[in-house]
Amino acid sequence: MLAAVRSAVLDGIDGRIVTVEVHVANGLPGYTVVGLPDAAGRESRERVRAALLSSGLEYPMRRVTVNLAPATVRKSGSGLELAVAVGLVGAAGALPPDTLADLGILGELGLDGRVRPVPGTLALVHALVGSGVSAVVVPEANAAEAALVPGARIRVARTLAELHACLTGDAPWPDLPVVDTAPLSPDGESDDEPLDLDDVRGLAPARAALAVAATGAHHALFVGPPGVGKTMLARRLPTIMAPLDRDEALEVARIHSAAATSRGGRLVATPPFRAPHHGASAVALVGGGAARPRPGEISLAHRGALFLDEIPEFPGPALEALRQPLEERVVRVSRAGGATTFPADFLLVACANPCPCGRSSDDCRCGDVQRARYARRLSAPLLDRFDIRMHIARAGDAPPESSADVAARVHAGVERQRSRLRGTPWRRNAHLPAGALPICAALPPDAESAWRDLTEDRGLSGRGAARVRRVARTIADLADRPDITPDDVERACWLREEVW
Amino acid sequence: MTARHEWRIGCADHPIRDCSELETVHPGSMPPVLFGAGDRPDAFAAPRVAVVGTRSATPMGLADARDLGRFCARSGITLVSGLAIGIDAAAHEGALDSGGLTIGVVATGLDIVYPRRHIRLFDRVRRAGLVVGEHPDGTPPAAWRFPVRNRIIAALADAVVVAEAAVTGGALHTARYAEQYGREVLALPASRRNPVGAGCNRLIADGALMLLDPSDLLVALNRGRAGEVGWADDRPLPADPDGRAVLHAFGGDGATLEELEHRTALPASRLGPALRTLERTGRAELRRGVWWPATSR
Repeated sequence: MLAAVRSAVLDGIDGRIVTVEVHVANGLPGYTVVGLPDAAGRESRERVRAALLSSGLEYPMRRVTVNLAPATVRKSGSGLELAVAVGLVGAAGALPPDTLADLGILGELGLDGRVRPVPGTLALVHALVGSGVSAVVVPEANAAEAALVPGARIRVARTLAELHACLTGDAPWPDLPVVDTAPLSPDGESDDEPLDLDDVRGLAPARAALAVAATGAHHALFVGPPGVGKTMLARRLPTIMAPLDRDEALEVARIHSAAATSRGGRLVATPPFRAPHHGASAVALVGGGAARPRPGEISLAHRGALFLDEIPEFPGPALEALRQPLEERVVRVSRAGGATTFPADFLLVACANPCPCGRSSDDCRCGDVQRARYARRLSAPLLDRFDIRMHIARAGDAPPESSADVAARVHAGVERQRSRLRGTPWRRNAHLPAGALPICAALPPDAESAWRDLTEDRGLSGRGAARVRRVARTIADLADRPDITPDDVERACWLREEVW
Repeated sequence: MTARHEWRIGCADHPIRDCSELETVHPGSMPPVLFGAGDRPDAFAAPRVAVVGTRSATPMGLADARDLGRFCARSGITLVSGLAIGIDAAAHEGALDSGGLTIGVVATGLDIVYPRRHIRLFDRVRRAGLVVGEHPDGTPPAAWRFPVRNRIIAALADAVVVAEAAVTGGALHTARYAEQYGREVLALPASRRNPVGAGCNRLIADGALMLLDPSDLLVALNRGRAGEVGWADDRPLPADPDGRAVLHAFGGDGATLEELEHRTALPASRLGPALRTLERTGRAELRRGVWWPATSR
């Protein structure tokens, strides 16, 4: 009269194993769920009952107790319903013994017995495989995603009735959809209009700065009058970023699967590009939420780029919350119920007008005081985290360059970094700690003296000088030069202007 | 503590020389009392020139105002202005840097420093001249008092130079008052591309004297003959050839790094140090992504 089924729930972007125990006993007919379910978990009773009845299975007119173990972990979402329904069938003795012993079950139920997809399948299957189940039953819509988990044996469930037949051996398991695991699809969301850098007129220095940012993962801030083309340029960042490798794509897919974005649990080679509106709250940006911490925009931009247009218009607390993840490349969301860590290794690209009026420099009537007040919305510590700060005064008439040309240089620069940083914990030049600079960003004597002169001339702090050095390394990588030249050092310094 | 002064209408040494015109143009506009604070009341003894202009000046306009201040100091002329941000401050500073006398006319009580960031400039003006105003101590800044104050600048000066001004704004009020009081009005011509210089060109079109050479100012004051005195920039060209190349590449206008790089054809590792040397010696400055030549400081 007792059955136990293994399933899992999402905790942040990780799966947590939940054992669903179903007990059916004599007594007044009733249905009780214990073990900290949320509202969706408590409502599951109606869906489970209706699904069982529509599938031609028996709903016991007895006392049903569903326990979700471990009892102290809060469970959210509806992904346990299929496990509860199978547990009820098992508790009624309608399944061969040991069927459920090493099976993990995921899925939400429709009233007609149809099995609906659940968010975060990638993480949930990963957790179930790690807990030692031999096979995982997933909704059909999630099968391709679940198959990405290495070592997983996936069973597809389309309806409760069919699943019952498969479990009793009356029917064969449905075929897995064909999953091509090898190649990454080049483009995830097909844009309605393909963007290309050659749409942007002039702005050669800013374009070069964007390439440096994309190559070395240096956060970049562009300040300039409206209409000069800052936003247009930044929006084309994804067209020049290096594609993700398989492991990176899997990390990204896991986060997006848990957050149920349109990118979903597919392996996409294009790095994610997130551009939240400036109304975004601190929680929306860095992640959080009361019941179940959700990854924020910075985690959705993991291994990709976060674009903040009109950055001074973002609420102050939201911007300040970026400081810790910018430094550590992970974000720790702490709530009374516990702390969760989300990965947040992203490239921050931001744009700003020099003043609040948003008019061109000729029509602007803002005084120095207003400009200074506007600039103060970005705190000095936040401003300091931008390796690249550029004031775009005018567009100029430099000839455009296509994304393909720039991307080729960027990809070569990224490859150069990968081979140099292989075996270190760092992926890109921007991640190098100061202690690693003498080895990973070595300066030949002439560049060294240029760097020292410049540090003294500009009165750079130790940290500022280190930032210039990292950018100089990236400029050399981008130009495919093994050694840093004095010109690289100088240009790195030019990319770090006082923008206000 | 600086010395305090007071002048009432009719007193013998009243700094406003010809108050009858003030009263004819606007009856009652003569300040009943004029207060002064500063160590050099003799500043009023010299001929006086007011240099006025916009608060949001271009680097060119600021350099011009500074040059005018220096020229006045060298020529023994007392410089009068309003102690405001922009042209006013640059003119005061030019005069002070060259050891001249200067008078700042304020629209607040004399114990108030407005704008606050000019606290050091106020000190220097009090030591090398006077701060004057018509309001008793403690009068706070108010927007309406500033244009009213401009009539005193016009009345105190023998000639008014508008260094850089838009078509609307306080500097043009000062020029109109000066015209009505019979003071000479001069203006520096501006490029048609300079929106904060259009007021100067308007004044010239309306009959103000065009100031092309500092000697024009002396002529207006009946003190000298017309001739090329020149905007004496007594500094030699920098010895560094790269620095000279950069100054040449400016062509008298602002330029972005991209443009300077293109025009000088210098490698970054030479252009950068050259620019920083120019900046340190006050010959170039970076403002909002554009480098400007500073002709004089």
